[in-house]
Amino acid sequence: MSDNKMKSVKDFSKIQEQITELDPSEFIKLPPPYDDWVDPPMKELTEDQKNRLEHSLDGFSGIAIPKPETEEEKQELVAKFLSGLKKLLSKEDNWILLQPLLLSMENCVKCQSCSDECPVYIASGKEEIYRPIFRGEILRRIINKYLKPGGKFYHKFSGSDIDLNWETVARLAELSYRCTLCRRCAQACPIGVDNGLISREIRKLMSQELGLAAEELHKSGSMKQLATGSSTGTNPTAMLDIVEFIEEDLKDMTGLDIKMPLDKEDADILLIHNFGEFLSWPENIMAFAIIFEKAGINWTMSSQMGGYDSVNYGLWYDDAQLARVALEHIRIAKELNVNRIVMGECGHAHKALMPVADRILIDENIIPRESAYPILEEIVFSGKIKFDPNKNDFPVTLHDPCNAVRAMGIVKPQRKILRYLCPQFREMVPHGVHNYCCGGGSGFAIMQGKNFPDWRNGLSFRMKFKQILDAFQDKIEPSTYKYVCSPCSNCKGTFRDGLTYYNAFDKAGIIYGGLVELIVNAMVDIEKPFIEWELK
Amino acid sequence: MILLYLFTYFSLFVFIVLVFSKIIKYSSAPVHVRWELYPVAHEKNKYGGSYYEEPKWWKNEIKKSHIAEFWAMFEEIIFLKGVYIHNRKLWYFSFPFHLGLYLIVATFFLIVISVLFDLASLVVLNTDTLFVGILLNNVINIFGYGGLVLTCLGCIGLIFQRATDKKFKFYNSAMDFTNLYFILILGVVVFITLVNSNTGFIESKIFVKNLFTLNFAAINDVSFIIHVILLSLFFLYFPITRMMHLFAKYFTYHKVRWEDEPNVKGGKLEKKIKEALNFGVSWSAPHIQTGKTWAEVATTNPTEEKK
Repeated sequence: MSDNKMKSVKDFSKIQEQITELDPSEFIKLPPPYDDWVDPPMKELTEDQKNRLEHSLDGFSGIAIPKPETEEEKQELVAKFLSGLKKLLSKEDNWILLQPLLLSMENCVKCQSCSDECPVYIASGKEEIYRPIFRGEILRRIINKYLKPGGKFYHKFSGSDIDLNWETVARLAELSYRCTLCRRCAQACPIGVDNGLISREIRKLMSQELGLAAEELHKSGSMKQLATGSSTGTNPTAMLDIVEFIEEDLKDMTGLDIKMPLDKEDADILLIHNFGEFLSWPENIMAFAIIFEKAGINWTMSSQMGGYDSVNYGLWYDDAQLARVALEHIRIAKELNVNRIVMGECGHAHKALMPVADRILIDENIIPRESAYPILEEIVFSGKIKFDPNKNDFPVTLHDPCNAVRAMGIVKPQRKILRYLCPQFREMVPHGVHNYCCGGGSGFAIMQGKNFPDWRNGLSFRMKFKQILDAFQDKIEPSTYKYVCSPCSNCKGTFRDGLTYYNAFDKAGIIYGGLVELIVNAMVDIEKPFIEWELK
Repeated sequence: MILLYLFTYFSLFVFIVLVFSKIIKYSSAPVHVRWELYPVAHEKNKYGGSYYEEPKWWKNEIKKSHIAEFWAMFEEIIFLKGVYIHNRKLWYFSFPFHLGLYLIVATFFLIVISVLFDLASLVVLNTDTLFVGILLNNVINIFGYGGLVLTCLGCIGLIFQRATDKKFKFYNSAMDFTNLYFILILGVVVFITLVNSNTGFIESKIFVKNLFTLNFAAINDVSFIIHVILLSLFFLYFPITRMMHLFAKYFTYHKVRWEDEPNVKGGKLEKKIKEALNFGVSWSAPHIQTGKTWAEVATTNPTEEKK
């Protein structure tokens, strides 16, 4: 049994030791060939890390919060948290999400309709701190007690008896990084309360007021992107070199001599990829180039600062960073005078630049922005390219990236393509707007510090892994190769690490990849198989 | 007796003021970034598809199905569809409880209509022989009695669940029980008045008529006096509780979950965004570079000094 020391919500601020110890034997069971799977023990922090870093939530450190050394330091941080909380509820400082936040903070009736929708909560064996309403309830009680009038009696009456101390702040900060922001809980809420949003807003408070954020998202993420042009640290010169390498590889793999259009003015489409594709999955970049060239699309990519990495981590933790990166993308599109920006296979980049940034753009910055999925659908069914679906005659299932599907409603185009090009396509259960998160959403896919990867691979990826295994049960033997189509870079990052953790290729013959790779693999003109059967 | 009437006026006044101030608070919030969640009810694709599924979507006219939106809201409000799907155990009690409350609210409005008709000499309260009067009285009785039974049964079930199910117990506050007990006690008291003097809700109708006509006539039935006091207290209590989700639900669905209006050049949204971008920023983490407007913050690169 996991050892949770809390008897009620208020214990969150009272317990001195670690609140809960996770027990992997309590996690949801996996289907064959993992029915006898025994989870390895989850990695503990080193003694040095334990001494330096806050870990009293569940023993994991997602954002490496340093422990304050003095009582004054603790008090100062608590005071900062309170001042940030006030700003979170103010029109000027938080117009960006004030109305949705207020509605969610003031109207939860704790009916628990959301609980069973959370893949982390369910996969953990229903660990209380991961219940979707838990972090919202903590924040609600703090607001009621410390920011609203009412006095002692009313606080007790309304259930706001929680103490605000350093431990509460630090645990809440870590807790906001135990939610993938997938928003399945919000989908289930009959009132419309959004606990995913609350997690995101707690992260924002921590970042924008206390300067606390996951290093991979902030310092090595959005700050690096603003400084170098990419969250990977790749500058424009290096970007050009990488494109050259990819062009050479493309020629070696397919015999096609394609020169990737860069910085072409007046093109119809500016295609922006998550730069992770260039480094980890270059075949995705190649496949896009092949398809667009064969279809005669007038397109370009940018090699300029701000134009070649669609990543926008601000979406997950910080409004200022979100806006800054989005405006860089827009600036490049304006400079190149393209008709439209098209997002490659990256879910969060879709959401950041399309619906969310839509409400920060004015005047000439309002430039059309589209998803690649419908454009690919249009190309595949246009007759411009010949396909042989038999080349894709292996089991394929589709993962739905939360940000592009649940948050944007782009559901059908990718399915139409797969149903046409993959004879053994089968849906996951559930799928479409109700599909589960990969487990790496909201930045978890790239958070590799301390012992956090164990939490992600062992726990937050688990529900997705179960879904994948369930979808392939009829051909689960490792000799039948199977493909998880994941049209999203961050999700692919999660699959890479998660499938490796479970040794899924050797045990079940499962690999993952994007949508465009399957399209190119089915092209009559491409003689050699484009998909390589190995876990990259 | 006049104090009872004055207290009723006061509680109704406070109720209306607090409910409206809450509605104004939500509706006057500044424009926010899009945070919709699919399926969006007014979209044509029932599987949850949006206009983003079309290439060059921005060239198309965006069509909304208001009938689909109305139907989704109807299913959600009347049948608590979300609870039915995601929390069936709770639904068995929550559905009758809410349906009962809707019937009681409908009864209240029908009583007001009866009184207005009576004042306009269209019907005679409870002794009418005309079709409209008979119809009103029968509907009031069916809704009123049915609503009370459903509410009380649902309430008992919800109290039992809150008290015994550990997933509720962990989060319970005194207010959660007070809300339910308050409604249950109120329901029981109304039942007692119906047995005593309020058969067919005649006392309720007369009391409402007295409120309209400023006739502070004496009430002889003690149980009815208690009923009026409790109901007035409930009007004062309701707006400070989470029961206000009744009104908030409109905003959570229409202004957040289903709000997918694209921003177009020269449109109303753009105007609101321009206003918001001029709000000052006081967040104090170093990378924010506080003291500027949002427009300035968004166009400032915090890494530039380091280069």
